[in-house]
Amino acid sequence: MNNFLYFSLDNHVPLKEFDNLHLSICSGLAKSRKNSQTANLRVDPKQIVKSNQFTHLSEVYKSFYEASTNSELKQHARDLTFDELAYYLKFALGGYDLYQTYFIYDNQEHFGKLCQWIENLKTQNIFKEIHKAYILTLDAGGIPFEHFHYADQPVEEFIHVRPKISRPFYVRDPIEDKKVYMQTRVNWWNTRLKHGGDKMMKPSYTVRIDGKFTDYIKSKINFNYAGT
Amino acid sequence: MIKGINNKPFINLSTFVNIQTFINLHPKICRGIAKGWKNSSMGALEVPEGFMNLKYYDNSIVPLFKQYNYLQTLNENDSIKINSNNLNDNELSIYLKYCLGAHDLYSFHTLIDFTEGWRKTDKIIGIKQSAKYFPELMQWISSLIDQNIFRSIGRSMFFIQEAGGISFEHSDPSIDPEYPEIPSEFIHIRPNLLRPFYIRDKQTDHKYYIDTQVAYWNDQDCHGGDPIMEPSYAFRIDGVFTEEFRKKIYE
Repeated sequence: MNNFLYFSLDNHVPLKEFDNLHLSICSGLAKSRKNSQTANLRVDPKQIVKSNQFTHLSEVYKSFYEASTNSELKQHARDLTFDELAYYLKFALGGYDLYQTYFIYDNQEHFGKLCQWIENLKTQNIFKEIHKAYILTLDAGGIPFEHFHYADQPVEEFIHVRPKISRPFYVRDPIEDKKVYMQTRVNWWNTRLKHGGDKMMKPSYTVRIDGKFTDYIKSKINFNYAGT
Repeated sequence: MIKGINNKPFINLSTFVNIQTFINLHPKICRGIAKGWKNSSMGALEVPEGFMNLKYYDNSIVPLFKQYNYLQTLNENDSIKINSNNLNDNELSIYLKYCLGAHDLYSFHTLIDFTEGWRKTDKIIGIKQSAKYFPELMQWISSLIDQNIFRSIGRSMFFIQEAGGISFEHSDPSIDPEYPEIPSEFIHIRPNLLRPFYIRDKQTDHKYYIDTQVAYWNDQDCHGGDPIMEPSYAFRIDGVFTEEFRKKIYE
């Protein structure tokens, strides 16, 4: 807990067992790459904090979306899958987004042990229900761009697990407008607050699991006060 | 000291090679990159010893090929090795990136690759599967023979770099497996100059930035690029220059 900007769940989640999965997760990332999602075109660019370092792919996608159907840009994008469109717009217009998303339950054959670990979070009194789980990978030098969720969206119930804390990740203190770095590996925070990370020169991944928290966990993280 | 070409660090080919058609193909090339990424090679695993010049990089940056070499030293019973079994090259690149923290943001689309006998024919042989995503570009490559630039063409490929990726400085090993003693002849094209690319004089440390979109240099000289925060690509065509073209560029 750090001024209630984020809550650590390190003491509630079996991290040792998670760490033992590292190599099988890496192997799963390798084998299921073709079934992962490149970047995120669907995010609203207004939810991403402007950076003078790059033009986020979602902004590029917005211009593409608004372009005339007859434009050359659109003509060459015909019949592209969403994933192909992300690649196309990256190179055609220079959009930035180095994230790759692996939906774990869609790739169970490659993440079997991780699925078991996630399911066990229910017996460990973390989640009542699990709705989705995914791995976010970021290639070396990739920037976890600062973003936030709208206040009219429900407060999200999730845990965010990092294999290491070497990739700096933070919640921005809305009052002092400064980054508060997460010093622990399993965290929950209110995603309406701006959050993001600093780049590092090695690839990294994080696992996020969304669902319904148990009342026990909600009491531990002051969940019922979130958003107030 | 650099070897150079004709006492120059690089040759600006912009007056000898018209790349306007190539530039106009940009949206089609982007489409080809998007459609063909599953056929591309991700990162360079096998890099011959001694060709990389890593002294200018932070020690925290470990190129993929180094981690690949490390993998080879591991015992067969090592868990890192066991988990790498039965992975194809692209899978292995991803595995090593996340398992050992390797850096390599390149991917390569090879349209034509060196095939025995390529030097002796003006027909393009060695066409690879990726070529089907770039039909107009393939026509343009062929036209370089009609334009008397190349007598024959052995290889052509895209070097694609994700945003922020580092083009590690290196000199190239002999590229043509059939005739390793013959120096490479190629044209290197960039659709724009956003990503700085240079030849390094290793004696003086001076970088000669290539300030043209189409160039030729001695690839035994150390060369590399500075990172930029957007994805980029470069295209290289290797072949045998015609005598007429050589005369022009050596003048």
